[in-house]
Amino acid sequence: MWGYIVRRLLTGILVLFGVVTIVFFSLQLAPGDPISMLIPAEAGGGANPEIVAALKAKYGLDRPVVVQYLIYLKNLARLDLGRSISTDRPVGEALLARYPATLELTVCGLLVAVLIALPVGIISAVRQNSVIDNISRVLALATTSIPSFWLGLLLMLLFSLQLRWLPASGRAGALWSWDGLKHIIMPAVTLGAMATGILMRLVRSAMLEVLRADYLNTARAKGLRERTVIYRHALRNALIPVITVLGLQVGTLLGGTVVIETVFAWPGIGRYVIWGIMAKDFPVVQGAVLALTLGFVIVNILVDVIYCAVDPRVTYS
Amino acid sequence: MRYSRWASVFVVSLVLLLGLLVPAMAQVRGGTLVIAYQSNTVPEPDPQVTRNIGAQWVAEMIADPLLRYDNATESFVPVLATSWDISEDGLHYTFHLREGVLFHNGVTLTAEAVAKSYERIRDAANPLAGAGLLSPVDTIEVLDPLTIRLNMKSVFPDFLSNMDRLWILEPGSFTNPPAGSYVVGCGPFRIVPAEYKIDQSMVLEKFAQYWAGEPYLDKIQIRIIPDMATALIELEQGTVDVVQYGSGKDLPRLEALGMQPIIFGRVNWANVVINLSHVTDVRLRKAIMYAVDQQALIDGAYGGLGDPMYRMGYPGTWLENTKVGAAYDPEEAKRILDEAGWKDTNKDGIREIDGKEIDLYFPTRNQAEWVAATQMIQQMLREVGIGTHITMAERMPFYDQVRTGDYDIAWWLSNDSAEPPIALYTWDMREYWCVHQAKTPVLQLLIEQAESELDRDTRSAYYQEIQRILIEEAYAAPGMWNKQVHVMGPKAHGMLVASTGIAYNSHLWWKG
Repeated sequence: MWGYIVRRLLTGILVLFGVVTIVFFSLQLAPGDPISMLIPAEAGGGANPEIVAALKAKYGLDRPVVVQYLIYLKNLARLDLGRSISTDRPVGEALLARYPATLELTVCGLLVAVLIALPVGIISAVRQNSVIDNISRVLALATTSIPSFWLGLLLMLLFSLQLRWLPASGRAGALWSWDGLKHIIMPAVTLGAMATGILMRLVRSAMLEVLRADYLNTARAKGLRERTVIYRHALRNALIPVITVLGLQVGTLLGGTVVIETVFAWPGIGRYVIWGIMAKDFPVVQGAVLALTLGFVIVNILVDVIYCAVDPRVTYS
Repeated sequence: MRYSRWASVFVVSLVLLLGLLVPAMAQVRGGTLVIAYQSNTVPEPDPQVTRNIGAQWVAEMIADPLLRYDNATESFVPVLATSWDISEDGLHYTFHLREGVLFHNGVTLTAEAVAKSYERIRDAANPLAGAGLLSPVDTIEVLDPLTIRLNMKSVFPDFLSNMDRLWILEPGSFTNPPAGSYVVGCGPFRIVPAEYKIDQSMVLEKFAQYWAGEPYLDKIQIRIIPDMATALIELEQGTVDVVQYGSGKDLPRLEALGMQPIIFGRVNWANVVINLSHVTDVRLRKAIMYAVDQQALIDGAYGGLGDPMYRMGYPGTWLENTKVGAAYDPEEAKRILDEAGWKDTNKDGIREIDGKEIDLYFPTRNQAEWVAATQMIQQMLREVGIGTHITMAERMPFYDQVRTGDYDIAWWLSNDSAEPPIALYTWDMREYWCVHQAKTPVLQLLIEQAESELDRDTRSAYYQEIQRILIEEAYAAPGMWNKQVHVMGPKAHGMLVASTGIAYNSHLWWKG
């Protein structure tokens, strides 16, 4: 097993290297000059060529792109992600400060998705073509197709403005505190909705397939209760493809934080990367994408390991 | 009779006295004002490195400049300087500083501190955001502990306009800062280090020894809320007291809810800028200029916030050239295009030049009002037979696209300094944001002469000539003098906003 994990880690490092390289050069190709952020157009002039040249030299932007890339790689090897051009602060520090918030939101979003998708998917399969099944179909369609920023605003209007039950935005304290919990409910539900529909449909179809299997008839013939048949025999097998998709959904949710964190003023990496892109702040975008990719790679390695553990047909080879 | 007369006098006096006292009593001490800040990080704790107007709000709470431009009186008013003298040749500015001003760490303000603050900003090896504002300065002299002189490289009569964004800090706080500390200003509020969370919010607490009087508020919290819709929901919910840069379209609804708009603007402007190296024919440029319906843009895209702009000089000021102007006149636009021989031969609504349809590249910024204005202008141009195609980009890529010339026409909002009151910097070839993409030596000479002339009448003549050229050559289509708005909740009071949008006098803000 350890050999397998090491191989997967090495592959992960290659993926990270590829992402770093692609992001670096695609940012160079994108229009715009990061120095412009330091001399806002709205501020009404006052910048002459000498000042612009000095600022470019300060951030090494006056060097050839390849040299900038090699310097970036060299610094990256020392875990130095550079300094934000906009704030002149270390990107690594900013990412470390924001990663817990993104992780917290992603995990809670995933939890929401699983807590809704799993029971609804099972019931839909067990009671195929019933009213519940039809409602779940509509729910899956709605959660998949509603834009998350719109859903977020709707929730905010209802629960913050009308009912005044939940705070509209921000993050407060530890998740296990009442205040912290109140702040994460709406962002987590909005984020979780992105994955709920897909998971719900997947659980349903996987369950339907398993429920038709011969070994379940055998279990029933042995006189086992229907509940035991479904939860002990059917569900465990149906979950195998769900776990794989769950791993991939982590990537979707990590990407989804970009919008959710902006709408709910959640202080995570998603909002940081959006800001970096808008400001064309190279080190911020590179660092944030690297951090998000790292999270995705780690989760998928974990999923692969769990997958092997859950499904005896899959081996560590 | 006598008793009753004295009684009447007493009652009248009492009423008058109460009348005088009530407004003062109404100002409540204490409380925390929450400001929604539309960014992704809180403003820098160092006022001298702030780079945008939103962050400069906060800079203004932490530190003071030497002077400030006052919209109401249209003049410069003292802040840390009590007075100033400008030499007759315009090359020396002497500032007399206020006595007894304390920085937040207890150190007293001196001319030395001002000099070191300015030297830090303009350090050639590490220029800070305000370096350009100090670029006209040659040397800085400390004459005595409360007098400082700035010697100019050349005459620059508008230098005072640059000074209200040059905040003074205590030099010890930026030369040898203790670990974990922030720079120190002498403004009405100071940063609470433990509550400075770069990704969430920052808290400022009142500085009771502020030279202009103890602030009414105990604290000001700056909360990051990047999304305007979210910020407005929080304002309605009462969890936020002030929202920066609201939309004119939201105003009627917000006012009905008891919110208080603060509308501001002076030389905040919007034009259809024209790439002169692409749109070389003055007749086409003039047709564009006359086709733009300024009032429709203001009403349709900006909720009525703004005034039509007919020329680049601000209306009613000393340099406005009322003899020239470009008001909406689509018939004139069509006449110019007809006269040029550019007809719509295939009857698709777009005219052709040398057999090729007019199709101007019209990029825009991905922001609701900006996009609405661009689409409206596209329709206005189409009505006179000028075709355009629009692309959309985020803020900085769009700005850079226009700056580097990847456009034919573009809707461009910006603001110049309060003095001189003219929308001009995008034509100044020395500027980073000079966007018109052509060498215009005559215009440049006039700009440089106007900015280095002391006599106001002569300057006015230069600026009037500049306006004449801009209109006659149709270097841009004047759009609007845009007004912007900050929105205060019903409990916030006393906020004044400069023409740039920076709120000041925070020691007089209060929450009822």
